[in-house]
Amino acid sequence: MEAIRALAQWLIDNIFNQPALLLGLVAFVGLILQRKPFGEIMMGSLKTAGGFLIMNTGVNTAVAVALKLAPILNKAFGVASEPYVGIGMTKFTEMYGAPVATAMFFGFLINLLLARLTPFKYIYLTGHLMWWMSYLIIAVITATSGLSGAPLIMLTAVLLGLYWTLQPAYTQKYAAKITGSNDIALGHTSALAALAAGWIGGFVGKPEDSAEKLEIPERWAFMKDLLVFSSLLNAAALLIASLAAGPAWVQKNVTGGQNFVVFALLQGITYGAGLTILLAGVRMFIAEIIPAFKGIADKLVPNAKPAVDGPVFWNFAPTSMLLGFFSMTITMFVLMIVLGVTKLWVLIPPMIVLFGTGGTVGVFGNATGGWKGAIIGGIVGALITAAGQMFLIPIIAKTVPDLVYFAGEADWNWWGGLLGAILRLLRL
Amino acid sequence: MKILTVCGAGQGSSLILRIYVEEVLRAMGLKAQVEAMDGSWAMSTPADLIVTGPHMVKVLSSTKTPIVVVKNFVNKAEIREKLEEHFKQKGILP
Repeated sequence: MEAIRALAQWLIDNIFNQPALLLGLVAFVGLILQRKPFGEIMMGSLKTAGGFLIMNTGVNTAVAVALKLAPILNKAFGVASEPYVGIGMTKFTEMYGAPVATAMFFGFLINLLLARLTPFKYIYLTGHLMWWMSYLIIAVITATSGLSGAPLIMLTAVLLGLYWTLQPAYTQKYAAKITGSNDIALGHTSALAALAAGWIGGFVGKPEDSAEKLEIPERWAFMKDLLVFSSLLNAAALLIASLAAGPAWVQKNVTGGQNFVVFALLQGITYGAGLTILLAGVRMFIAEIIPAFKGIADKLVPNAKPAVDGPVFWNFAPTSMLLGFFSMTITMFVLMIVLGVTKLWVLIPPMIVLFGTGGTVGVFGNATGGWKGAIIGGIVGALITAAGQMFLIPIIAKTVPDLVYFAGEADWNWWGGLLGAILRLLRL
Repeated sequence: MKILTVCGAGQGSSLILRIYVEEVLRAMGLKAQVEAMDGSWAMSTPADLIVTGPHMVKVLSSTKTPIVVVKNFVNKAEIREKLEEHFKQKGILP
């Protein structure tokens, strides 16, 4: 008995608090339950653990660049405040990675239970966003309350289970319109922005004037490559900010003497490279877990509807996706300048959000308002995301504000912000 | 046989497509290794086939790997029809 307890304690102290090993173990058990061959079990579990560590490397690279923009913008607009730093993602992942992974797993079980028992038959299968939403909620709770250990994990799991069941429901009206069927739902954290785009689209245009009847010059298709898009836009943001702050000041205080144009270009590409590494890592660590989740869901909730990633919907309206994407990006840059000049906020445009939310709001706006809806959708998406950044960042200032600088979508910003505001009032 | 499922960031939708492509292949009795990834990686990864959506076709224009385009990533009937067509052309299916 004593030996078993000692072993359990050793496992808790040495394996379960290491997120990479914990996720590897989850994949290992999942692959064994699926009766996979030995080679696949080994490869799948090691790639899951490896993917997690690769993701952390990418985070370090991408976040470092995102944070370089802040002091330049501060100088350009004469904003005195220091950028929020907090614990930072690297350290926070070490500290809380294991609770994040555990809460994600239990949150999925609660989603299954709710789908089985309630009329909301949605199973959330967007793996990378399951990870990030779990990460964000843990970051909000630890920043605004004293909860830790099991209560922290259970509260997070319940909130995740509710969110993953209800989010697909609140966008379904428009999602069904896009796909022309009720079989799939949106499972994406741009949902509040997509909902707003779908709603407002109906006031500005008609679905008959669909963006899909327009021809967009093919020479812009290269912007759909995420590395290219994020590198270029980050370089552009650094260049604009450096010109406004004064190249001489930037070269003296930020670049260490390097020419500011070379600096902007190199940092832009570094950001794209970091993002590529990050995404490759996430891809590896969800590659085994999500198919296992889907296998479980198929058995337990046979009539469920999968809630899937935004780009699944882009296929139904690729031109609207591009319109939303460009309209949101331009609006975000305008907001960066307007908020800076008025000294209201130092806005760091999160590139991956421009990509993920931009495309999705374009498609949702087009479903109700045609091409006008797609463009307005992008503008609305940018406004909601930017205002959300202003709401959420002060709330998680103590933990991981850098997370929101590079990737905060509407639902992270608003649901996360609301949760934080409530927890602060409750003083738990 | 190696098949790549591809979307813009290589995160959620290519993984969903992978799961459904694997289910369809199993139903067809075909064996393949299916991997999900983004466009840049797919273009530098040797494979026998790429399965992707209409919005990605132009991004992948420089690849020599044959591409099968699927509009609805969770519609097994559509995926099966498009894959059968491709495999018949290649002589993998009669």
